[in-house]
Amino acid sequence: MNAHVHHNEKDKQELNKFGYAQELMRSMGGFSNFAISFSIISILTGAVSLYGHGLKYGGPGMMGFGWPLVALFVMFVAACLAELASAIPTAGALYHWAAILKSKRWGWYTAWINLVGQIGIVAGIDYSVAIFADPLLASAFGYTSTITTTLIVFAVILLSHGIFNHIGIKMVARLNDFSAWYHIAIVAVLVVTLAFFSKGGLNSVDYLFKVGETFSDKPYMFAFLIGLLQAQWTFTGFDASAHTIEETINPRVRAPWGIFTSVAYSFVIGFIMLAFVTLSIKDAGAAAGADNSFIYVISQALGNTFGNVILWLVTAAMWFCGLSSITSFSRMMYAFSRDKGMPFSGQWAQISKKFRTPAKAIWLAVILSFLLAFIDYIIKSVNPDTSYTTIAFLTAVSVVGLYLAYGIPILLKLLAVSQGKFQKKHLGPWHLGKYSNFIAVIALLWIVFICIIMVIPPNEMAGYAVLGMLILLIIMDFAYYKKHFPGPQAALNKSMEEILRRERELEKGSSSGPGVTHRA
Amino acid sequence: MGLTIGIVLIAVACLFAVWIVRLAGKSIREFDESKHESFLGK
Repeated sequence: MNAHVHHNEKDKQELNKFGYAQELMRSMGGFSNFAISFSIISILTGAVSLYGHGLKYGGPGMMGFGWPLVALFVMFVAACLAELASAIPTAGALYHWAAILKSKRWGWYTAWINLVGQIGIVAGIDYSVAIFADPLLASAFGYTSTITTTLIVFAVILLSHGIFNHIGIKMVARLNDFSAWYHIAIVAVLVVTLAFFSKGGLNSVDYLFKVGETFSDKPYMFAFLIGLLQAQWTFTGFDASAHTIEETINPRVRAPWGIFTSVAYSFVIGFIMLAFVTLSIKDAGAAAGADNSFIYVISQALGNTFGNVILWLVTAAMWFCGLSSITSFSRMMYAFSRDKGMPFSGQWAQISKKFRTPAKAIWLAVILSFLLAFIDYIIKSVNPDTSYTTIAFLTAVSVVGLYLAYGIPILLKLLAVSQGKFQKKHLGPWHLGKYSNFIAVIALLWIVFICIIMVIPPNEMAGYAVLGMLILLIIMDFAYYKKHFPGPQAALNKSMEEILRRERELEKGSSSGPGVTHRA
Repeated sequence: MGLTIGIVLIAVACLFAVWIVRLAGKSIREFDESKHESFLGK
């Protein structure tokens, strides 16, 4: 028996202990697991599309101070999630952890809050791609770019991501691997070019740490906090390594590394990129006021031709980011549905017998993400004078939703440890030892802080959206799920014979019909 | 002053990342499967 087969069997047995059959194809290696989170964090998506937001509110100092400050605290959060992923390696991740650390209702709320964040992140990423791609397509095909054409491009991009994800994890994993190297290569080209060919040379390093300059109407400290959205949104989605844990070989070691190192590498590589771009700024006020600040700075420093080339390359990187985010989102919904946590769960928990992917969950992810942006489109069509931007709205929703969902299992693990429920013997191979609780407390403080910052004006719409969804969740919970959600605990009642039968069915490619989908 | 604080902040973030990598690496090396028990929440 070779090492690969040995690991697969061991990983399958570990999953079976939680009452789940190995339904998804386990084929991802360590780099692929890292690459999916690295691609969703995507420094070429978050840091670039919100570069103008950061510059407008925090000035150049946002890149010098804001980025490392956010990265430092996000690494606390990532370390806590990595530890949990190693201990409880299931695709439900955040919600499954919350459910078994405390109760199924905690898990149910965590799942829905995570789902809201996932909708926001997919919509935010693909809307960013559309914002970049639509003007490029408009100039190529001779039409005028409007919010309607942007929405259409957004829909087409979502559709392409749905198709690739439907076709299979192997192809998506290969594209993610390529995406990770692609991101690094683009940043390297950009940095080297700016370092040697920037017109008029670079600003002094002091400029990167210049504080007190804001291009908004807010006092600087307040504006700086609002500007943190740029970095904070970039550092989201690293839970993807946990959501794809049932498709990863040796997941108790590889997934936690994927979670933590994707954040750490994004911090370093992202900082280098932002530093060189910011040091190339010729006129910060004009850049902050430009439609696309990042491209404006590049064009000023290297000329319009190079600016256009970078625009195309960055747009492609964003497309990869959206592709990975649909993978993560669909796995989360698949896992939640197999525990019957959503309306029509039987549908979303189905696995395509041909591709071994949660096909219906993938298309649901596409539709929900489109709807969020479409609602925003309707609001803006009715009231064109709205003060917030679509991208700030979508990104703030995703930050709050995701970080709340990150925080709940971290808090519940702390409580479970204090009650003696979660003990040292339950930790996986990847853990933080005696520093675990200290790191968790710091992570939680950061999450509380950042969730408040993300919903204060001018992002109050995101706060209303999250609040509205929470109210809806409470209604759903009391109306139905309080009594009818079996939770992941119910899976533990499955017999090993039942689990193995399910695996044999999938091996033969004879299932996926509604009648044979998970029965808790 | 801003430059110094900025460099210290970046150094702290990098050192934290390295510390976590060493901490987790050590825990993996010393992990004893026979003492592990899956947390099922029962």
